[in-house]
Amino acid sequence: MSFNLIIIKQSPYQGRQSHEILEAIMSLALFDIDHRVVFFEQGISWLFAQQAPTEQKSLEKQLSALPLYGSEALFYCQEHQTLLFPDQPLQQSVQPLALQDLALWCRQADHVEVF
Amino acid sequence: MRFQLNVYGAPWAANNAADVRCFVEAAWTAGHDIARVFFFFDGVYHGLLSQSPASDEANPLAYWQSLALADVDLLLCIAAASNRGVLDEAESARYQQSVTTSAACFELTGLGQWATGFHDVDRIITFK
Repeated sequence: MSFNLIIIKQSPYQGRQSHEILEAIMSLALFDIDHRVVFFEQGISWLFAQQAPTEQKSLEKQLSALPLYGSEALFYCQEHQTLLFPDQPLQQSVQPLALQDLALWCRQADHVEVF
Repeated sequence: MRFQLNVYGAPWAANNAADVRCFVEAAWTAGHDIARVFFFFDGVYHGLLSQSPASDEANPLAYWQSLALADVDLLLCIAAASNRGVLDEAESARYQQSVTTSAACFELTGLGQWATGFHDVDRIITFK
């Protein structure tokens, strides 16, 4: 089973760059490149429910649209969520992933890109 | 082995151009192939035509021009470049700007070229 792994470890709302990360993921879906996205460390805060940014477009809305583009394999690191954001509700369309499984994916993936 | 190199950082905020040069020299010495260099995020500033470093400082743009002469495709993400004012002639006209700001050795292209590396190279190496 061939796949590519995208790991997002930076916080959201880092200016235009955060939107460009989503555009890159959408391009993988658009070109039918099999990929899995894992939100890691501070990257888990991309998944907070009910985001209401005042100065730019909501990343939550764009994230929720990823499956419509064909990017459906969305995960977050379960251990990091427990340690960093234990009481924070997350988007429900994203699945938990254990660190040991992520380590396995890092070895199995054709390419690993870290944002 | 065939490589795609991604450059994500601005030229004057990191040593990414020098790192790419070291990598490319080592790769070519070992008989490997560089499929393309893709510039994304603030990395598109590498394509800025008007970079004018002092004569005793490194000149990343001169290196990119030499790489283009060696038939390596230098690709700027068109959306990231346009947002940051790095425009070729076509984009300059499209946005009704009065100047072209990208160096001629670079091509503005879509993220599809970035994605292409995920299926047509052996390794993708990213320089931030």
